[in-house]
Amino acid sequence: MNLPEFEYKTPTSKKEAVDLQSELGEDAILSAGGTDLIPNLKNGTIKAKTLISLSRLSAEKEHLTEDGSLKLDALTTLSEIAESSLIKATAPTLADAAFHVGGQQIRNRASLGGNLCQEMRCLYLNQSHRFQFIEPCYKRDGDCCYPYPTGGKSCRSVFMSDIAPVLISLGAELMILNSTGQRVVEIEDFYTGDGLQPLTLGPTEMITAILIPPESHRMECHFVKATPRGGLEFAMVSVATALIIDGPDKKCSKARIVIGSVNTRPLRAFQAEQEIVGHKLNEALAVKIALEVAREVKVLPHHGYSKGYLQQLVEVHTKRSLLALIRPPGEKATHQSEDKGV
Amino acid sequence: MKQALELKINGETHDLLLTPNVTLLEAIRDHVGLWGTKAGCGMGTCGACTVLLEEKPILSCITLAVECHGKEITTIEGLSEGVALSSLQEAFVRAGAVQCGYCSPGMILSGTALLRKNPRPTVADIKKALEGNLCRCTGYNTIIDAVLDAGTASSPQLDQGEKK
Repeated sequence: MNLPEFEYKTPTSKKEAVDLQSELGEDAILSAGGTDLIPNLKNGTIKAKTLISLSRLSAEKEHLTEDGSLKLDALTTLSEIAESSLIKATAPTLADAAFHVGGQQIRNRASLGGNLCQEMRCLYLNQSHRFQFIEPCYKRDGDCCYPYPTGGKSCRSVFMSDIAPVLISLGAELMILNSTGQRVVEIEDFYTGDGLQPLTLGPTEMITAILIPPESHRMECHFVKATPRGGLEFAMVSVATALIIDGPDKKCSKARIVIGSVNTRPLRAFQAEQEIVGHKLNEALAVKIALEVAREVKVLPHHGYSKGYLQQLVEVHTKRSLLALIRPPGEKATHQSEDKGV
Repeated sequence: MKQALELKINGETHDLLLTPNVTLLEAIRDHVGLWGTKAGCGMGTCGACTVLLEEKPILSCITLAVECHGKEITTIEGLSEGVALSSLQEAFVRAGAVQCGYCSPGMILSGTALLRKNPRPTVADIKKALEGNLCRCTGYNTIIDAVLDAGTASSPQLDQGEKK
């Protein structure tokens, strides 16, 4: 499949990149690793007259800022994140999630910022449209939705980043640059939940860095990605959990449970989180919470998996994830080591 | 508009004049004429087009050639010296890890990158490193055996320094 023609620009700084973008308007698109963009340009899901390549920019090394936040450059590749000893020590679930994206060839190119801005996915959208589906869907400026023909005029594709749920569970913030200046947004507010316009990122803005607050270093975290094959796949369901467990009675003072790959944005289970706060997590509570999460989170059937099956996956993997958090130290198996034998 | 670029493939420099929408795969196969790198899905899924960019495996079908200007690229042709195969290639022959052979260049390059980083990989390490390469004939077992074999055998050719 050939790539359509485009103009190619290579800015040498992030500021120059956003200036170029505002000069060229919506016809220009930023490209970091291109592992999501190039296939989507090939199949026509994304159209661009100009490609602004960030390949000449180098990523700042991840580091702890003065207030103890972990700062990551948006251009850091997923391989670098998966292998970084600082990230493994301060945000192990982030390293774990990066390790489970695509295959090593993808991780060597794909950037963190690109992963957070990746295109939505659905069985109909991410393939060549030249020989089938004559009528374009809403996402492609058409007038129908193939998976949900009667669902109203909206796109019900799924946002499948593995990194976003983890960053939400850690309470991360995104630093966004535009030609007039910089703004900081909580990653939770970065996603709209609208399949047609999934990000609050303007057409002339770019993510420059990700900040993970120091509070997250105190959190007990876990990440699970449920896939049928165990490698090179988008998740059926992903679950990121993070709890702050305080005091001698080991009561939970803060909880975040985030479910990814089941809707147009990563979803938090707010009610279930409230039910953990103030309690000591044990097996019986984990079972109850997992059921609550599966009830609370609105699951869209996707890629051939039924709603009932996905709800069951949410329940099972939330339970496993919570139980992993209360395993005594030493026994704590990370997701990474669990599925090494797959 | 065409752009002049320089690709260093297997130690040899190639000067090319290409439009920005030419992928690295197209540059290697159609413009340089090295056909060992295979075109599979073209969408970054199957791993047949794997090459090493600055010693790291990447997918050449979803990488723009212009972005590789001045960078070192290794294709399957760069692993053997004439008829002398690399130890992983020999292990592939010994284990019968090749049937139709279409995935082999990608498998061998992903495996080579793994062995350079970790000369004694476990089966789990190998499965993880080869997850981005799909094979429709061998059932993967012989491929994993071959990488294990090359990993346990002394493999001086895989040593980055000596190969160059």
